[in-house]
Amino acid sequence: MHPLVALLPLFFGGILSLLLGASIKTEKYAKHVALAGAIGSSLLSIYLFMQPAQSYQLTNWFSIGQYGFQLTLSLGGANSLLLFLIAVISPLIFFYSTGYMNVPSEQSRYYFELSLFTISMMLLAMSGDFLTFFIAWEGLGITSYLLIGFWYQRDAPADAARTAITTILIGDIAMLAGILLLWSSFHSLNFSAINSAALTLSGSSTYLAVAALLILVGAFTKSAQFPFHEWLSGAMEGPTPVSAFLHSSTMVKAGVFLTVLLLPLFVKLNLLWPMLLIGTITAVIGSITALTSDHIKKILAYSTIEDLGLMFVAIGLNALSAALIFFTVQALYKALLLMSSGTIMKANDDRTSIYRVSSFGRNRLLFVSALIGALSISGIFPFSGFFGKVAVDSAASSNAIVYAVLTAVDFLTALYIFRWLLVPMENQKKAHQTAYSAGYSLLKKSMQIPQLVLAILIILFSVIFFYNGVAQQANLDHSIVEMAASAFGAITAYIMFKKAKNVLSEGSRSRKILYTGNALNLAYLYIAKFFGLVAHAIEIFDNGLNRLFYMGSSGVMGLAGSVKIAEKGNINTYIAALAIGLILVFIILVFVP
Amino acid sequence: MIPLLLLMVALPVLFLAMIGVLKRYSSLIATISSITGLALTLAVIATAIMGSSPNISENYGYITSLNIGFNLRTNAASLVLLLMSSIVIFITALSGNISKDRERIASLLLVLFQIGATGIFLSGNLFIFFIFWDIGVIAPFFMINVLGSANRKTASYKFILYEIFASALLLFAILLMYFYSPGHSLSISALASTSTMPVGIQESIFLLLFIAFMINMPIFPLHAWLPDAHSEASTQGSMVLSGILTKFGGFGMLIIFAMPIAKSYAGIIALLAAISAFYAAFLIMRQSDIKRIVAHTTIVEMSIIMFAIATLTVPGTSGSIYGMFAHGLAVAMLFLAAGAVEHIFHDRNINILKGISHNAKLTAYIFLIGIFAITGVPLTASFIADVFMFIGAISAFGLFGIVPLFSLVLMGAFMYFVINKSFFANKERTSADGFITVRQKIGYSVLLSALFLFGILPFILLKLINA
Amino acid sequence: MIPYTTGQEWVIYLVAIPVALLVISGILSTFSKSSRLPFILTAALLAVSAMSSLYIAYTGVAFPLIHVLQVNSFGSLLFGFLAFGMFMVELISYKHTESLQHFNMLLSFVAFGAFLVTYAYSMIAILAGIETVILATAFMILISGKKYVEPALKLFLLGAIATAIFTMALALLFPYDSALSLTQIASLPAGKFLFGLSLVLFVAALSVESAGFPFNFWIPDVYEGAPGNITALLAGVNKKIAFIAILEILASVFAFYGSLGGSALYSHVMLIVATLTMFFGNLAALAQKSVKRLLAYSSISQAGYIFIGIASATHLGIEASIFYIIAHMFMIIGAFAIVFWLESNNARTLDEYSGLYGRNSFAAIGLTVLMLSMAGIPPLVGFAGKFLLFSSAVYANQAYLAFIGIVNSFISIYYYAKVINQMFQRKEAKRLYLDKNIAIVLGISIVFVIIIGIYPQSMISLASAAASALGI
Repeated sequence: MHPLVALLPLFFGGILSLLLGASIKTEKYAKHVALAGAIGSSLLSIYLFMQPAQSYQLTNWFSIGQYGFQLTLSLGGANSLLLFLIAVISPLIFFYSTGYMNVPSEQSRYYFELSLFTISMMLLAMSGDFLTFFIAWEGLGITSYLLIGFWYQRDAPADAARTAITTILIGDIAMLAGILLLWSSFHSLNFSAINSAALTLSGSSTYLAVAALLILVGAFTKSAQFPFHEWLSGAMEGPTPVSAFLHSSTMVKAGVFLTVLLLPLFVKLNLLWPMLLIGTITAVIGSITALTSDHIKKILAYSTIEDLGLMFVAIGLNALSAALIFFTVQALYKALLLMSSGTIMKANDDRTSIYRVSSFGRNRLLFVSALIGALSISGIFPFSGFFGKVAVDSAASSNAIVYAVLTAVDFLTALYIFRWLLVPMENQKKAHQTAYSAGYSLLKKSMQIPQLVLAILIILFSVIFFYNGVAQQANLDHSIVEMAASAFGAITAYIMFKKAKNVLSEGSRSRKILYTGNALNLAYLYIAKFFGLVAHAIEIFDNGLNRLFYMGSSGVMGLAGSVKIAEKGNINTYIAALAIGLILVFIILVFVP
Repeated sequence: MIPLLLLMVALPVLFLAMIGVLKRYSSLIATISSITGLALTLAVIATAIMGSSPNISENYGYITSLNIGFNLRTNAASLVLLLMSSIVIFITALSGNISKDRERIASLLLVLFQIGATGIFLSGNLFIFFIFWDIGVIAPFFMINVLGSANRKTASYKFILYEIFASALLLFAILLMYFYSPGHSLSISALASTSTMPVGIQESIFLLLFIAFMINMPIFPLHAWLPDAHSEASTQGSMVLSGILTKFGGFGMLIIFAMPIAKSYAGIIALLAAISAFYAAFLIMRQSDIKRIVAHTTIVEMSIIMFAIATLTVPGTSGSIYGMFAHGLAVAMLFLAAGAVEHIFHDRNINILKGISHNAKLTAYIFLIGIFAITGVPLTASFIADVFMFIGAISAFGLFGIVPLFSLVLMGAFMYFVINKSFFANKERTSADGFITVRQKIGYSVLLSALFLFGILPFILLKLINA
Repeated sequence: MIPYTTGQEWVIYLVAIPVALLVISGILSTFSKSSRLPFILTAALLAVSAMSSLYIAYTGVAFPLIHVLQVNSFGSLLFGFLAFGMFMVELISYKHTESLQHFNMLLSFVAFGAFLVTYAYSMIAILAGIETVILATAFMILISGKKYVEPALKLFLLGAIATAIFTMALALLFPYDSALSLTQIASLPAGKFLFGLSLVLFVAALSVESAGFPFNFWIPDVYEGAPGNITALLAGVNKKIAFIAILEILASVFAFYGSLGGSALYSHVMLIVATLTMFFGNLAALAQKSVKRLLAYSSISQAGYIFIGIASATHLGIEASIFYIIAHMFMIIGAFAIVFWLESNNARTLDEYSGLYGRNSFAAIGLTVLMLSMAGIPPLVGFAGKFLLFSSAVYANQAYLAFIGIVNSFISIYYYAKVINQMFQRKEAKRLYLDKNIAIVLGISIVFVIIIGIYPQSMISLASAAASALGI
């Protein structure tokens, strides 16, 4: 089967749901159509996942000289893994959406954009060359822009969408520049061709180093690495299913995925250190900032930033398998946690602050699945997140500083996630029981089932890890350290937020110290101001330039005015001029040879 | 054998006369004229593809005593640009005059412009080139002066002075060329073999033509006419000005960079073009008029195209042709949308316009896609152009070749700011008074599909360009 | 000079008889009460003489005629067009002239003067012709009304001074060519200085009429002061007659001084005249408020362009000058026709021209086309003419002159655009109706400007033949 066939159900589903939006009567079927498309594509993708590694050349898009720009799809390895993750999570997201999206007039637009987003991501997962990858990459950027700004009638989502697309734009252009520089060295954009050509490189090349760094900038913007990470917390303004999708298996993974695909090139160019450095910084910033937020989704957004930092740390340490394990488990627990947040918000009239929502009510199912998610992200054995964390920690064991930082991050992770879990539960106790249980009892099944499925998958993956030997590779020492840190974090959280409730609440000093978002936003603001100043200076210069031309023309006009003096209109002038003319002519005659 | 090229220039004259004579139906006649132009362009392209050479020529006697013929010829660049200009003129005629403002004179000027634009891309010698150049400049002058908005008088003045200055330089260069080229040949292909002339004359011809085309493109520091002209012109005027008129200069640059002397100036010109791109990108940030914003993006894009031409490489040149094609379509679409905004909301100031997407959803999305198109998003034609242009630039200038690409970041960032501020964030909404008709919708869809068609299937044009 | 052909001498009657009839009917028409018949007669005879003169030019015959005149394609071509120009002036004058009968008579004298100058073989004929023209025109202005006395006197006075200088030049030339005929002097005896002085005086004398700097200060005042139709005549015909005389004398007698060993002097004088004339006309025009005055200055600058061709002293240059003389005649008569018509509707200044497009679109578009042509925008005739002129300058190694000309064309667009700008202002105003005659004249001018502009070759061939007839 040709891989592109897997995209068709989603494509038709998306188009059809757009068309169904033509009338309010038919619009309510959009979700069914889109869901059917998603399931179809998912099944086909899983089928593709089972296929042996293979690459498909689509077409020679265009050529420059004798070198063609082929579009290639590739299956196997990281490609198939990502495709599989999307295949697992995307139908769940669509299913969850059917319950979550209840604005009748926006259904068709939502499912159309979501389908395109999913298609872009699947194409990205399948891409075997940089050109295909870049097409999918830009597709992701644009559709994510549309989805983040889905509620553009409100200011916050529109602003968040703008921040996102601006950051993404920087990455896109940097990436395009990098791609073109790469092509100019290798005359090919095929990932495997680039990697094999990179292996034969001798000596260092500034040229390629610049190209790789530019590509890395692209990856960092999409994967929300410092200093490009702020857009991701804003992206939470989008509909929650989108956030769940974006933060788990799609979009933010694109940058990580790219570095995985090009790892041999980065190794050869000795450019792993930027990933290690930036990844570490991001992980720290992400985990600390997560502590300072009240927004039930933004806590998870910073958590995603941290996760992505950890992935870059793993790649930066050239620990591909660790990165990929973490890559997989993170997708599951993050999707689960975000869905839980969405559900909590839904049950609490869309309130977002953890201090103003109460969680779960009598809905044990919801509680259990959220707890599984929280345990998994904290890296508590035997949930699958544990294996990811330990794999990354083990990879870092050679580097004491990184190892120490990662352990601290483990601690912080447990701390913030239990804050996320416990604070709303405390509210529940405080408040009158019945008032809150109402929201939870009205929840649709379609929102809860995907969470349950994900919770089961988290456990299932642990089993799989035991089965295929990942679990056996986990180093016992590192496991113990990791578990200890996490447990310590969880206990601290219990003490801090159960007993001393005001820690890190709104306006507290500790929070002000820890929150880095403001500083960064301030920095962005100053950069923007700086550009504005430059623009202002250039405008002044431009006006001056204009003025210069204007002065030129008024100079001519001045000349014209002086010529006008001759207009006396009396005959003396004529005759005087005539006489002078004659005399001049005479002089010329006499003195010019 | 049908004299296709002659017909392309001559038929609009007939339509011009028809508009002059008939009191009504002027808009219809202009549309028919543009459709005829498009059909003939397609016929010429078909002939070129079947004959597997883009070079078709027709020669007629003109001023025989001066050995100046009426030579029409096509090459790859001219075919591509003809295709672009005939699509844009077609849409301009069909959908440009949203408010049906003085249709007769608007149609008259558009057909006049059609003659100029077609003629420039078809001209085989510099004399003909010059004649059509001035026709192509005079028609937009009236589009600004007669049909434009509030500041049209100043803007048109500025425009005409800059453009006539350019054409004065052009004329002087043509005269020099005429008397120094062997056999008094003004043929455009003779520019490529000017190495026998005295170096001083070659330099003079090159620099005179360069400055003339630089004004037209426009490149910093001779760009000041453009924002005023584009923003004050009628919608139709802005569409053809940005879409086609600026390409006259680009086409001219392609011609003069065939001169052997061009090599010694290419580096400094590329530097100038790069500066120009960033300069204009910064200037965009200070604009508040939606048409001025789009106008400034034209400077950025044309500077990048200039940069690509100055690489003197095959991919760079092909890319610049493709870039002009893509930009013509994209910017025409942006101006069409901007014109619709002005028509619906009676304002162009982004500080006043709010929530456009609420009352003009289609226009808002078209504007958004237009921004994607000019920032070179894949699957739009601009992406192919960017790839070619910058690969050419890298091969010519190494790492520095990639630098102008980043002007797109500045431009795009501000464009997204505008989109957010005026189009999509709609807590407050400017009240709408008007709507777009099916004609504008056709216009949007044709331009949109052309942008994507040539972005997805680039081989159609590349076959011509590479032949 | 091309050799005379034999046979076909009768063709001269084709021109001579209508011109004679014109003069006779002009004199007789003063006795007529109605103005209609004289008008028809004058117009018809002017048209006939124009056609037949052009026919002679077409046949290309050349022969001498009673010692003072000669027939060749230069004279017949230019007389043909001048007569046609006068025909156009007659058309626009019909409705708005007080005593058309007297006007007709004087116009017929102008035609006769033009005949003498264009067909001249002797300098005496030129002198007589120019004198006739100036006197007749001065009287024309004078009879138009009380307020026209001043311009009439100015014209008369300047004409007299010019004649004096011209006579002086003739006297200086006499020792070398006692016949005062338009043939080249075979050899140059001693006294080159006086010979050169003669040339300079000729140029000066004729520059008074042809608006060469610095002999042109009277032009704007007289052009503005005179009624519009007579201004059209002054700019379209009188000035051209002076140019024709310059061409005849310089080409025939002095052979541009080149073969006589003085071409450096010649080119110096002409270069300076051309440059100063162009700059003076264009710069002064920039600051004008009255459209008529603006056009007067513009016509001065246009004279400067014609001087470029004369300065080059080559076949191409003379050909270009001839081309431009004819082209400019059409443009300026068409333009002044509108000015004249608007004058009678009390619109004179730039401000009063504003919104003309709304009041009468044909007039506005027509004036726009003519002005664009004067500014040298292709594909109008002004461009073809300027291209020829500038290329002749480059050809004669005077590229800088071409450059100055181009700079001036550029400056000129500024004030033409100003007028166009005003005309296309949006303004609510009463509609104006164009007289039929003026519309016809405007139509003829526009058609000429566009057709010859698009396809100038036919006209260039004619001009080239005419230049050959001058012997260059």
